[in-house]
Amino acid sequence: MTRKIMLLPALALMAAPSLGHAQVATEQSQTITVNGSVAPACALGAPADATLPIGALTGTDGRLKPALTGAGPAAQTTIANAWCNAPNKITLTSSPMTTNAANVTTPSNFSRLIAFTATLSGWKDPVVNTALSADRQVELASTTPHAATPLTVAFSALTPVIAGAAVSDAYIVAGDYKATITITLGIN
Amino acid sequence: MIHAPSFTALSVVALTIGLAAPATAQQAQGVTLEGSADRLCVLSAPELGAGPLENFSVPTGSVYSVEQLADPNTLTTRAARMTLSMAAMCNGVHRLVVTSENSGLWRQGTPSSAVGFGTGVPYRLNLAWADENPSLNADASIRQARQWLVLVGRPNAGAIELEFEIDAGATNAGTGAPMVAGAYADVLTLTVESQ
Repeated sequence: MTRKIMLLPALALMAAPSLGHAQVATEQSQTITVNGSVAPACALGAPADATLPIGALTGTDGRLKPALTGAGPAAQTTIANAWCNAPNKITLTSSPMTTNAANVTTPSNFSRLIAFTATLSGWKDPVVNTALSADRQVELASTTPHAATPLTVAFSALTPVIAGAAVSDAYIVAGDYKATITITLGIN
Repeated sequence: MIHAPSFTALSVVALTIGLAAPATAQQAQGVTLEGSADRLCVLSAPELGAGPLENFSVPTGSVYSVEQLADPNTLTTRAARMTLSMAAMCNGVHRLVVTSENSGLWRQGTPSSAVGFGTGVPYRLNLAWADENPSLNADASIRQARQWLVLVGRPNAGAIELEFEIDAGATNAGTGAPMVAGAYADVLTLTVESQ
């Protein structure tokens, strides 16, 4: 008596999305690559006080009040948000206080300019500017990221200026006085 | 038939992490410092200045006495001169105001009507301050208060020099007239005022 044996081939199951092809396996993996970049950037928030009024500058003798001429701050404000995530440069630009008084002949013992020391602290190192005449810039470069906790801007050591030099006992010409300092923070 | 498996890698490239706070390559902020120097004038008490002291006693306080107002022989006025110095400062445009109570040294007490006799002594005030050098005349023509104004168009600090001069023979009855006996006086006030 004759018997027939049918041999059936093994079927491979394919894991790939190729239709009609399948392969059976105990485990499989796929590689997904994710990458991104962070741009170098700085942020500098607004000061808590954009204007600092210190009122009367002179005493009864017509000279700067002693409380304004010392090392202690005559006025100060803070900037809560200041950071850079890459090498950076912070710049403090300053010039003396000028007056709106009429430009009449001024005797040599009177001043129409009041210089001061502007100090920026809370960055990597303090930045100090004592401009005696025109705009003066002081820069501090840093090779590492930094975040201030916070930045403090202080004004101190007011002093009369005559012919580009500090004259501590000069009288001050009557009038309103004003100066604006600028803080610049940027990627270096 | 056995087919080889195929794979496709999924790539997500160049994701930029978004930032909640605004940030740029460079930012700037300004802070303004403001103050004021109020208009002010300061004036110290007078002291004897560097000029000559002629026919005047050394002063006591703010009273300045002529040693001998009339010549004992001619009874007319003797010359007298003194200079006073007052430290002063004004930090803007200002003026000096000089006031005389009598416009001359006038005889105190009951008025006299003696004809030909003087009852008032004229004098001159020579001022020096901030490039101004006015000469103010108290001519004793009429006994009345008088005021002089000296405008100064700039700040100044230093000493106001005030020279008081009586010429020999100066009277309100003519040069060289005899003077009625009595005490003679005037009161001067000097004020510095910011404008």
